[in-house]
Amino acid sequence: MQEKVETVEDLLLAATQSSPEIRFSAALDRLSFKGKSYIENTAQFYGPVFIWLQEYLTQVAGKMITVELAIVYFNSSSFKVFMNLFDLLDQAASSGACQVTVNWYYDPDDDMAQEYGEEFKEDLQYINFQLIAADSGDESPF
Amino acid sequence: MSHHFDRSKEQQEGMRFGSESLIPYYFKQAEADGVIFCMRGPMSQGVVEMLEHVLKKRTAQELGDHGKSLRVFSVFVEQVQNIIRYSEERVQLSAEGGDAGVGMVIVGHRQGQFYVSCGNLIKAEDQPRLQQQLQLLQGMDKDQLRAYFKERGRSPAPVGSKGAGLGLIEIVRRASAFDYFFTPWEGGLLLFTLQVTI
Repeated sequence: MQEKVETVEDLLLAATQSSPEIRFSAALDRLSFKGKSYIENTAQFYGPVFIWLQEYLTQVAGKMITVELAIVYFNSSSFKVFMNLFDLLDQAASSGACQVTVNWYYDPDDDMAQEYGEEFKEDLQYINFQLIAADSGDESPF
Repeated sequence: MSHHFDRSKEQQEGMRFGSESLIPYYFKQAEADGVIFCMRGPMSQGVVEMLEHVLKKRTAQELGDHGKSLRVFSVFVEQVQNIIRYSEERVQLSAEGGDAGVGMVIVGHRQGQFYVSCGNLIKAEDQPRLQQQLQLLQGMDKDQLRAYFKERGRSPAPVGSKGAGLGLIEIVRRASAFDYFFTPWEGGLLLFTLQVTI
């Protein structure tokens, strides 16, 4: 009997004013967050995102995963969400089974986003965490 | 018609409509305090999103600095989300059980600085814990706040906290100054005010 290989469907969530666009592709091993994150009920919003992620991370052996985050503003409860996200990825990379690169994009005028990127980075041992200054132009980011 | 600004009598009796405009009193006060907007009522995520645009316009105009504009917005979001979660005065928003905290938010620009002042009712028994937390934060420097924020981010949310328990720390990190007050209110409650300058 042939073993059935379950594939993880892509996860796509459109951005709203207070939640980021989320594009997770298991086929491309690429996870991206783009926009703002200041929903009041972060647990409710990110619950399905973490369920997807946990399932995806069970079948990443030998893969190179890229995570792109271009978050122009996030609230304090989203900080905890991102911290949990990076911990999960760091754990997945710790066995050496997969490689994880995180690209943290920040506006050079936004010292908060840069500071947060540094704060996340200093706790991670196995992720290749890149801080990338990306000018948003004259347009105010929020 | 007389234009007096002593409202103590009206406040005792409740506002009389029709015989006098409400505007002169509020206009004068708002002008003196540089008020950009002021709202009292049920706070919701929708209120935060609606006011984001107003705030974005004004901070861009006055500051022209993305970083500082975001700090003002951050304090605003955390302050209002604290009212949503922790106000003792609550109203039902929908039949499905969603409720919102009632409170008041004033955002203004005065003497070259933005401020976000918020107030909501709390139980008297919640004062010691809140006051202790604020005193602790007041005594911390930038690096201590950064370390404390992370430490709390790593630990489970404290008892009585409905968010990550990080909101107050974030507010203090972005503030250039802050002050808080507990004003005795009806029904044995306290009106808790957190006044933040950015």
